[in-house]
Amino acid sequence: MPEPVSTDSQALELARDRALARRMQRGDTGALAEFCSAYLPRVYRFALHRVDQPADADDVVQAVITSAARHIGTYRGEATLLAWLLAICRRELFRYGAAEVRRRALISSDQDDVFGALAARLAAPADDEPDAVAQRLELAAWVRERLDELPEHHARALELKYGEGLSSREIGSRLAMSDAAAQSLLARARRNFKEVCDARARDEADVTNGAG
Amino acid sequence: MTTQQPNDDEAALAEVLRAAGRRPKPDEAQLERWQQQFAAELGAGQARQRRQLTSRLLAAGAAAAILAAVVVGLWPEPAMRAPADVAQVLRVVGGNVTDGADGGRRTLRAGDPVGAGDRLTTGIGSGLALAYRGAEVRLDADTSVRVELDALQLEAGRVYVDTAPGEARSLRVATPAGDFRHAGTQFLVAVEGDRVMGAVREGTIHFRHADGDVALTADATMALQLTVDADGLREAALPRQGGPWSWVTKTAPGMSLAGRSADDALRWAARELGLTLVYADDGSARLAEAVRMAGSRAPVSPEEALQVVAQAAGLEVSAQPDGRLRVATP
Repeated sequence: MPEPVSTDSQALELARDRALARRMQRGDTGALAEFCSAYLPRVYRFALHRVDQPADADDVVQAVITSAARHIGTYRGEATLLAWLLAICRRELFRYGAAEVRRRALISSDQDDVFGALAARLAAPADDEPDAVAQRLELAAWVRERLDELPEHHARALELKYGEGLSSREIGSRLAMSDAAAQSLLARARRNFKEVCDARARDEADVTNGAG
Repeated sequence: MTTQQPNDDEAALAEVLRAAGRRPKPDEAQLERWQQQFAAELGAGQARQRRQLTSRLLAAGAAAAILAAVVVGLWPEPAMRAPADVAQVLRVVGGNVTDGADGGRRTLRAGDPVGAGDRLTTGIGSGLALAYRGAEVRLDADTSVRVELDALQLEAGRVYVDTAPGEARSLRVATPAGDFRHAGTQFLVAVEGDRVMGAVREGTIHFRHADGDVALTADATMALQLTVDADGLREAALPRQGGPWSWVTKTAPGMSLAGRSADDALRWAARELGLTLVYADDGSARLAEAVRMAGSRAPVSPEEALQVVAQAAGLEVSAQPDGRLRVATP
């Protein structure tokens, strides 16, 4: 996983995750609800991208739940809960026989303007070439997976701003914060998203170059 | 390398996120089911740990006994392996719900695991909800079911099966007259003496018997019922609520409303009650989507959910004789 956030905020996230795991083990239903709503949708999307059918993704999520519930006592907070769950999910996908998502460089790692490069690839004129259509779909899924690597309130703020076209005032109203706080959140979210995309592009370029 | 202006960067980001589209979301019912499964698995894990501790203590005692037996020239039979867990208890209604396996019998509690080969029995006034093969299975009072790896053997009484829309996992309810398999989402099977009845109110069920295969598909307004008795096999239309469905909500594990929208709660309650949710106008639908429920996380029944939502959102909620749950602003 790329490191999308600074060391300090990552340490904070790990501490939060450790506390959440401990509360769940003690039978805190609020912690369980928080865990499920924060992480299971992301695990579902991760699986869905690899198995296509929603019913199959649901099967995989259920297998992840079984494994995670049985092993939550072994979670030591060395990685985030999301990374821990996705590692379990990868194992379950393998057992499920899901095809590995091919790790190839979708965008160039030396691109200075990662958003520009992505926009250009995604906005390519639609044609009848199945490969081109498949590549655009794959890239769209890649972008959605990068959103899932952000803290959820960052991802949500970006979706509201750029997906739904809301103003910072409207976003503040939706997320119960002031206009100024929403603007600040958006700035952090944009920066974070760029770092995540850059880091993953570098990571995949390294794998591609190393492989071939 | 070029240096990008912030505005260019922002415009490109907007294009990227628009082109990528919204992230797919599991529906609320699915999330609720996963949370219940997680809670049941955590509870089962703790029960398993307790059993393992007991087993270790017993094993320590058994080792001492074996040693003693060897000393006196006796050798005990090896112990049987425990069956694999295939289901988890989500809710127990009334106290008289037992699990008999291998000659033993235990009273069930929420979170308990259920093994393949276990026979579950509910007494008078009792009920049980289970997570089994990705579905939620409910047992009415006075029901006996043997749980197998891939099927429920309904010996007597009534079971109800609910899988989230879009599910397509194999689940079979076997009866003396034949097997019911689902290709849909809400159905019940009853065995009462020599009479077997299957009913579906959402999706399709297949009944496979000695002479063939029958498919029943419910529509939005009417459930379908198949009865098998000494007179043969008969199909009939059936209301989607009341009658044989009446007991189903009594064993429902319930829904925690805190943090959910009024719309989510109404959709869940309507589905549980076999009703079709209809908003009187766009305003009432928008209001239901906008209102978030606060307060206790304690699960509530579908009927309680309707009352709470009506009060919290200031909506008029009424079940119509035609099977619609009508929601309107006063």
